[in-house]
Amino acid sequence: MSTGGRICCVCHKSLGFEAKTLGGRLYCSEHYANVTKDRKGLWTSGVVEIGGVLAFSALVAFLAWLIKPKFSGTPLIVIGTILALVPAALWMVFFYRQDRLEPEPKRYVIAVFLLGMLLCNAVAIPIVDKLFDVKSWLSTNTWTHIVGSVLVIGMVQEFLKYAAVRYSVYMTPEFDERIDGVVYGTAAGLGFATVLNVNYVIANGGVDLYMGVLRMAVTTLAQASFAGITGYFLGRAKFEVEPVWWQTLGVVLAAVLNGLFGWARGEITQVGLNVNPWWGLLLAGGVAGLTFAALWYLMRRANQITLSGIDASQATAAES
Amino acid sequence: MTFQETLTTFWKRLTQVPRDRYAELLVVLVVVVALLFAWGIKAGAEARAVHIEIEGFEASYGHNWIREVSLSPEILKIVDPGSGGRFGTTITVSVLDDAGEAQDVARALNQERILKRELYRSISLETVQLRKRDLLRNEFAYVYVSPDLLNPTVPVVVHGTDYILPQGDVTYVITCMADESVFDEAMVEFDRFLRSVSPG
Repeated sequence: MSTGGRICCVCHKSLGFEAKTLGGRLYCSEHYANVTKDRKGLWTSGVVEIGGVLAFSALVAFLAWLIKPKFSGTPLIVIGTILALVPAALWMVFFYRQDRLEPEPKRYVIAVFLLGMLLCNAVAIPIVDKLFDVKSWLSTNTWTHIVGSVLVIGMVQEFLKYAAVRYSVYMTPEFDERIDGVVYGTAAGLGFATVLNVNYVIANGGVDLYMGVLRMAVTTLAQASFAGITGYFLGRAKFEVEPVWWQTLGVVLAAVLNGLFGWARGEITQVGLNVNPWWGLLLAGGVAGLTFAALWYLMRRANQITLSGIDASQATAAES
Repeated sequence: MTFQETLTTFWKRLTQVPRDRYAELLVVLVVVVALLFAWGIKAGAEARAVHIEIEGFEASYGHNWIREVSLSPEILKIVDPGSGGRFGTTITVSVLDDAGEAQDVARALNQERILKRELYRSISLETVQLRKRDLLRNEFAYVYVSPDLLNPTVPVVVHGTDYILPQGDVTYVITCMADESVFDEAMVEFDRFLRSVSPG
């Protein structure tokens, strides 16, 4: 008896008529059970990551202010590069410690992280810095600054993070839970942040430890948060029948937040030639915390709706 | 999962869910449209801004500013004719060779101005930090009396700020002066100018 091309939307196995339906998509029993899983480990590691990055950067900045180390040349570049890698390493460690009961395959998370790094260095930086040469015109006036930040920096960065997930792990059966969008999105965002931070160190021939570590923390928290938003939309898109504009909405929302954040950070941290990076750190911590809380709430709500059967009954009603 | 299975899965995803195809095409379309729009904004902004490079010093300023003749050690002098007030907001950039410490430069500037300007007062002098460098900010005020005796005007209180920026063997002095009544607005423009600055 033909099943009319009914396949699981995750693993693409053929399904019988008893297949589970969720948000208009068909699932095998294994992946149906996975979709609504709420990984506490992810949220815990996220909270620890935000707190850890804030604490680490504040500690290093405080020590640098206290000790005033006199590094220069290669040692300064090496130390700066190590500092640039710390936030991503922290997240990886926390995530795997929390997620060890049912971890995402390490190779996929690392692959998306590396893909994020690659896309950032090979595509995002050349487009933003070379093709659009934003430094030469972005500061012309406030309006140009905001719109330019959103349309160039935000759009390019967030689209590439989206692409890093959408055209890699998203298409594999390993992407089998809604929350995987946030996991892989964050990994892509951290890849971006790492390259931006390392580039910053190398371009400046090393960084002042006090200013540098705070700037790196800001970049990391922001990039990971915005990528988490895109990931949320991707996670929903894969497991529910969302409108055609759904994924676009995710990228645009992340781009707008990215652009506004970039502009706001400049406004509050730099007055003339004065730079006070602590304001930027506060802003980034706040944005990361709020984004994280919003994602946690939305994901929990989506899963609760699904588990309560509202979603299934709506789908059935729509089908009938 | 084997490589072939992965490829098969990819192909199925690409071919069996046309709705997703439209969704991802829409993402690409929106990004392309955004970048085209951004290109237009870039072209407009570049047309409105003047980018200069003098002896390795780079900066941008609005096209409505007027560049005036600058005498050494000034390398740039621009005036905003639409700034309001009776003293047009003026930004100057000077390069001093072997000028010594920033504190010495500030002291010399203040001494010179005390002699040349009416009721000149240095209001504050403080060290601020830009990335890895310390630089000095000197805030001052004086009374500007128009030298035009045929068209006398009421003297104006001018409020100004210097940033003294040591860079290798030279020291840049970037100064903004404005009518005291429009000083806050002038500082917004000055901030914009400073952000575009790339010392040689």
